Amino acid sequence: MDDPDETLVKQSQSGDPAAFEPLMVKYQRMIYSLAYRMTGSLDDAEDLTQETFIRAYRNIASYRAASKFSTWLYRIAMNACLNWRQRETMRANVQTHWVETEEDRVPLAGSDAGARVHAALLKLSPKQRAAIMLTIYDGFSHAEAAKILGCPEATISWRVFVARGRLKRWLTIYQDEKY
Amino acid sequence: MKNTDLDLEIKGLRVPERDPRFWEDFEDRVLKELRTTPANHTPPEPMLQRLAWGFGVALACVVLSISTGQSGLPKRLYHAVVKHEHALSESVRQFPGHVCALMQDEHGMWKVMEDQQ
Repeated sequence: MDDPDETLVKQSQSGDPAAFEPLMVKYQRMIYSLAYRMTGSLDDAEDLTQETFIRAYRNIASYRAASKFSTWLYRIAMNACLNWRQRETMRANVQTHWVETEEDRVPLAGSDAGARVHAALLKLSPKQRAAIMLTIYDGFSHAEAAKILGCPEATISWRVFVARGRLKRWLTIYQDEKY
Repeated sequence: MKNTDLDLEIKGLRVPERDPRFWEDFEDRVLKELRTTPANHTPPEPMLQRLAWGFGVALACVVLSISTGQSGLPKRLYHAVVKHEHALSESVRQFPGHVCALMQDEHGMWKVMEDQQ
């Protein structure tokens, strides 16, 4: 049975932007969620989601069905998030009086526990955070995460190992301070 | 803290819900952008084809630099001699003392024989 995504992708590849719309509707929340977890900002997540779909459509001809469309899209989104991080760092270095705007940094819904876990995740390096998000939150295998991030599987395993250690330490410190 | 506990905390993260109106506006905005900027529908060249082009260009550069004398004539002659070493040594053995010059052109290596008296 044909994958419905594949049919829509083929139509998009032949120059029909309307065929891309259902793909966007299907995956926009997934990409938005990834972007939010990577940035911690609603506004940046929105920009990155938009950027991801525009990039995907412009480069739709390069999609070769070697992987699922969602995986390919995920890779574009993750690269956009990692590049965003670099741009943010550069901007922060240039602007000496840069003040972080907290208005759009909405704590994760649910609880104080959720907010502290997210805060700890945002303290990780972007590449470590990406490895944690892909393997633990999204449930990709290390091999799949390696394909998405374009690095060896061993690198993913190492990043996950180091990131776990840091998260445990930070979250334990937080608990010790609280009680 | 165990790995399983940490994983549970990470999996428990939730992203703030957005209003359905937000998604409608979002789709409209992206689709508008997609319609104004057409996609590139030409598939990229396969890797092997790109490598072949790269190799061809590199080879052309080498040939050009040799032909314009960048790498020097003696070196060029040296390569030609090495390449035709067997044939040349056979000629010299067959006509001892009669090979007076070696010439290289686009057709390959040539021997210039001394005139017989």
